[in-house]
Amino acid sequence: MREIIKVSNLTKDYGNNKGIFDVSFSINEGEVVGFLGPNGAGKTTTIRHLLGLIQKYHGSAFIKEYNCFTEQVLVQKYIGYLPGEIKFIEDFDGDSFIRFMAKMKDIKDLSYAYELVKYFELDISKKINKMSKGMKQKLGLIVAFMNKPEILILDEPSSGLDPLMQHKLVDLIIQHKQMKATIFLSSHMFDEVEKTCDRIIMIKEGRIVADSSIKDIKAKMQDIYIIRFSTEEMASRFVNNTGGSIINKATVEYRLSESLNKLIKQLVEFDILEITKKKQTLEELFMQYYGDAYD
Amino acid sequence: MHMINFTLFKKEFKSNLVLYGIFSLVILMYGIIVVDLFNPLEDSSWIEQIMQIMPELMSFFGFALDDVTNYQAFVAGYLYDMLFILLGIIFITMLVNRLVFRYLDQGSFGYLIATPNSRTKIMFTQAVTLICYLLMQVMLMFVIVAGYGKITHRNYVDIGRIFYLNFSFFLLLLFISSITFCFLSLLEGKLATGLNIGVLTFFFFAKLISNLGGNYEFFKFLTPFSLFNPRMIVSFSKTVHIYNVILGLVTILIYTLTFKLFNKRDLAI
Repeated sequence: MREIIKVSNLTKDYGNNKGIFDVSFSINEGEVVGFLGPNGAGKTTTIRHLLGLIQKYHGSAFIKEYNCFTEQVLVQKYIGYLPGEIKFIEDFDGDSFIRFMAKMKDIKDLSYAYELVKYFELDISKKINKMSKGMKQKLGLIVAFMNKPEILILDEPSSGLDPLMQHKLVDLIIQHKQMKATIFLSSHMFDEVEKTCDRIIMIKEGRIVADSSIKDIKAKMQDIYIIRFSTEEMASRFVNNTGGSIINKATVEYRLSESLNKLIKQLVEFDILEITKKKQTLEELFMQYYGDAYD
Repeated sequence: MHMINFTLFKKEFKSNLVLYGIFSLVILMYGIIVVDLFNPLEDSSWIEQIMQIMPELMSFFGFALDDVTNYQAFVAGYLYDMLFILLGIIFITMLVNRLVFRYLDQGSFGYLIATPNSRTKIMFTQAVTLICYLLMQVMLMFVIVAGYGKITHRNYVDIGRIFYLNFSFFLLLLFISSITFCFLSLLEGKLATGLNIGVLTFFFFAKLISNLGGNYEFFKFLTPFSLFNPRMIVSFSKTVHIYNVILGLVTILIYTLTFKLFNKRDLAI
């Protein structure tokens, strides 16, 4: 498979341990990759390199066969980009901004752009400086997606969107994935990453700490059962004999590592008030691995 | 033209028309008033006598014999030596602020860069917009001083000299614009705006002080604005051509350097 994005040993030291250090990863054609990490971990810095906005200290960043900094103009032809903090050119209304950006990008056919306007239910007659954060986010998304680019680089695409729109965004990303777009999205919304991405790259304090496929990660995920016993004594007896941990008085959280049958057999001798199953989310999995990053 | 993005040019040209309009009104008003003020005397011999008796006092007040007989020297001294330069500095700073600095400062420049246009192309387009406006400004000045002057003081107006005066003034404006463009596109935040205003104000006042002459004449060596000497220009003095060439070359140099360095700088989003 063809590598579309290739970052090697990218380093940008801002001092005080800020910046990114030796960041390397690659993304194949048609792959959807989530870029996760807490605030200030270096997600946006990495993305700015890909866009040719900042210069590396050392290392390299390539999109297709082009150097992201020196051949920025060639790179841009293939990219739809959504900035993290959207700061628009304020003298426009929504519609004239879309038209302006289309002309700047040499896009002639605006039919898909207006389809997206309808899809996100955006009022584009409004002046940009009068728009709410969510409206600006939608406008940014429309501009990023409007020419069905081969490569989409989205910095925090769902920020500022309400749950309904977040859901629509996930659908849109999946649609473009089916159109064979290569998508790189940074996020701290595990939910959208889980639904859309093939692979996850995790960055912490400027260094890549994990890079694995969603499949592998999901395989590691365990089912968690919340069991409420009738007495606290039973709860502690269960924990001593079988495992798990007491989360509140007579309530125990148990991570299933063997078969469910075995658990049920052990539970027979207790008086159980309630059992609920809780699926471990990617978020919890990451917290388990890289705990302090999410404090 | 491969170096300009017309979409951006059109947008920027449109959104700065109001600013241009306001400055044009000010220029129009002052221009007409000063042109009207020119009051040539049929017989200037008595002034010559006063000038001979107390030359220092007269020159201290910025008064030159030419002013009452020579229309060109009059407008050069009363409009181009100070007022138009000051207006030019303010206009250029406001324009470059709108064309370049606010995008960089707000972080919306990334949107322009996230299109298949090189940084140089975008900055060049902004510079061309700026220069267009400066040209329009100077053309307006020329029309007022030459056109309105011709109506009110028919026999005193020398179109050729006034044209050359405006041409030289245009070169000065380009030079000022290169300084502002350089500071506001390469530096950030208060440092950029502060240095720009500080440096230009110093140049401007150094020129004013050097105009006093006498002990203060050495101030002219502290400011490049001395390369624009309106009274010398209207007398077609030879050194003026050399000054103009220097202004032109320095301007090109500063702009080229600015584009080069801008290509290397990190941009926030």
